[in-house]
Amino acid sequence: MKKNRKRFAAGFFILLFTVALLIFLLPDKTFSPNENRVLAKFPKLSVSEITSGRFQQGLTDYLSDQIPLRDMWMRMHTGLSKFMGQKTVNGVYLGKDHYYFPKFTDESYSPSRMVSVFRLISSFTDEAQIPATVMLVPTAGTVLNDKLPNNAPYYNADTVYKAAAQLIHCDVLDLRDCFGKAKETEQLYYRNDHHWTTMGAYLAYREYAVSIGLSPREYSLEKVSDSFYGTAYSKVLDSSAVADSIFALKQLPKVQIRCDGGAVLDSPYQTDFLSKKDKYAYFFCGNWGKLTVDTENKNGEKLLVIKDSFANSFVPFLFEDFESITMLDLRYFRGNVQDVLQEQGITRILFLYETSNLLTDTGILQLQNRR
Amino acid sequence: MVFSSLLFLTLFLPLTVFVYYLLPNRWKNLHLLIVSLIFYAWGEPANIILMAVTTVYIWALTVWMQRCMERGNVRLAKILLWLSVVFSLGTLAYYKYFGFILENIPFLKNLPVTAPALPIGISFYTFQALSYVVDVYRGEVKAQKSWVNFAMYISMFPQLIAGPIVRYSDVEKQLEERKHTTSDMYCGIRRFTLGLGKKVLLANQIGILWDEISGLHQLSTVGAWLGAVAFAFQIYFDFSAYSDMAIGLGRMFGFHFTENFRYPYQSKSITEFWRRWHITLGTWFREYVYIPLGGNRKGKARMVLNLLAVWALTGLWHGAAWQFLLWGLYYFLFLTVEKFFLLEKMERWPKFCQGLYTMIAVLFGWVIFACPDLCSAGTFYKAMLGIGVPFVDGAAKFYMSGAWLMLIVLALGATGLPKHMMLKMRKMVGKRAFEWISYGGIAVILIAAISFLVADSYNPFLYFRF
Repeated sequence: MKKNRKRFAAGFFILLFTVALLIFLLPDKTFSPNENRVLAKFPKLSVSEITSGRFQQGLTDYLSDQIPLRDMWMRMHTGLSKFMGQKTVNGVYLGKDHYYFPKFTDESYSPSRMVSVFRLISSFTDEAQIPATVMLVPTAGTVLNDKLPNNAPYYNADTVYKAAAQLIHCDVLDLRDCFGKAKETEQLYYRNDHHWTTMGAYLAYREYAVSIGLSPREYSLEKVSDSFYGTAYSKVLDSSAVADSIFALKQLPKVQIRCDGGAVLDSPYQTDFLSKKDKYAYFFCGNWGKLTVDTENKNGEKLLVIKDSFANSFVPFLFEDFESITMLDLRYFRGNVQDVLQEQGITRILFLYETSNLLTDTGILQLQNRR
Repeated sequence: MVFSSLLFLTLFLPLTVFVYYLLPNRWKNLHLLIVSLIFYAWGEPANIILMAVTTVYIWALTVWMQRCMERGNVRLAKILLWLSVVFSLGTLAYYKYFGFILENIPFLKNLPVTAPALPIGISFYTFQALSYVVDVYRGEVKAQKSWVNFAMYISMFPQLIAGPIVRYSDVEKQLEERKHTTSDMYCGIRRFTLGLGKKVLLANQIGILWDEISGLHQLSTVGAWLGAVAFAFQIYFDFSAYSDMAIGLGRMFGFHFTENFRYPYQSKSITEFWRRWHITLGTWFREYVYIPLGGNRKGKARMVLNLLAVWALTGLWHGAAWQFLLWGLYYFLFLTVEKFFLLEKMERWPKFCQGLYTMIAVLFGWVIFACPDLCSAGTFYKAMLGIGVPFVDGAAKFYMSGAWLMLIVLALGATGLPKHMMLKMRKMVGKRAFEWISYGGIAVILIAAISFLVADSYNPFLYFRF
């Protein structure tokens, strides 16, 4: 027994140290597609880095980011948490029917900040004197509340929509009724990602078209990928997750898309991204600070969309109705929004944000910047 | 550095152990001192200066004090004693209580001074240093001639950050000479891994529940009780796990530390609870405050006063804020009442009622301890008593449905039952088979704990790139 204990003790320390050796000796990974983030590199070593504690923190991050079989460890963590009855992993609810919902409760946002954001939007559209719509896309858990874990705390969307209707003077589009009816037959949100599906965006387009006096067009969709695992999945890495499919418009009019920094795209659909992890970037390569779509339509209608990533799958539905569409993502756009209104000769404004995103987004404060 | 990190587990610990066992005995203490200082300085390198000054000062003064006493110069010895005590308590007061004093004394509020950051572990190692100084003065132990040995005793990384508060007399002989046996090494590994599992798999997880419930805008009665229970388990499993890891690590290097927890939630009275909870702290206050003040030998009135002093200090030791003082006084009240008549009366109660009374008193105590201020503790009490809140709401149901299995595991784990079962199993399957089961158990806990450590560090900036 003594011999075995000796062997066990030696094995214990040698195995632990082997983990550290593997971390140092195996080539570093720079990016984790699964988590969609850059992984920590070995920290800079110098006296000042040590006295400031940056080296120590960096080494801690390095070890956990570069541990071999990182995904396996993450899966094991989720499996064990589920086994213990946990309904939340890494801030994500493990919902029914393989749905994952980022947790967002009444405690997750500040009501006073919400009020000031709505006031800000309202005074912006008032001053612009251009017809405007604010589309607050319902959060996945608001529509699919039956798929949340039983009794899971979730923010009360009613409060937010009521405040919006009260504080915002222009048209506020509430999609909850429409989505609530359609959810029985259509998949409106991805299971593994916080975004809406192209079908969800299509229904929103129809509502929006009606609200601005256009007759909604009939479009048909085609499946472009059936292996999408999104942001919510990345947080839980649950082995029982079911892949989502991505759909796109079957036929698109010819357009030219000018992005920040001079990049030019000839389609909003970027097939390259379908073979990567972040498949939602199939739409417009993801988010740009400013992006302008020129269509062959010459009706003089020029739309400004101030938006988050939910707009990326939505905007292609509007190509046939506008001469140009400018999309501003205020998280990345560093110019003056009023300038854009004038330079582009904007005739219509659309704010498109997923509700919980708007409640916590800091980019929107960029609207305060006046000339 | 913390034990529950990949850095400690995969790098610091194996390297420290390898070098320790390669070195000849006379270098082992110096090695432990150096690695302890690295361990201590890891987060805040400037702390090392305070540690160096403290150990040199106390060591030099006690050596001098010892010489004075040998020559019969009791007066000088007494002066040296006070110089050491004032220094130790002075640094503790400055680093821990200066900010609190500034905040609460009106005319100091506007002074252009800021309170210093609290060096980790200072409350623990100051108490160790004090116990040593006083014991030398009392002639109970001889002053340590070697600074390396003394500094190693004060800064030894297993117990540096969160105890147990090891009294010098308990390890005096071990500092000079200790045996290193395979059995100690193995038991050390087992104890450490169990502690690691308790901390990472149990305490951290139930801690999340407390964080969520205490962050709710709206509480219900069931929710509030669930929160209080969650915190009670969190603090016990966290703290006792730390002691387990410390004791386990100590054994790997041949040290035998005193136990710090003995299933406190099994207690049948508050008096018993404090004999089972953070035992080394209770012992310290008894030895160095209560008894020197006269204990119970100077009449009832004096005893109550002594108890009041001890429990006010015990409260403040846990943190420099009013709520901790109140928490200490809360226990003073229970302990005094129990001492005077309740304990006698309780003997006639059924065992179950004794336990229930103790647990409820302890739970209400934790609420004061856990809430960020007295006001939120008041709100929490109201919710627990059902004043102005619904009995149960959706959030409480949700948290209950996710936590009940965990709570059962924790409730059983807080008692002596698991150990009892293990011993029974050993009898049933035989020593040899049990040995192999233990190996497997240790490996499983270690792997599970590592998976939680990897996942914990995982804070993806998902929105950053989307």
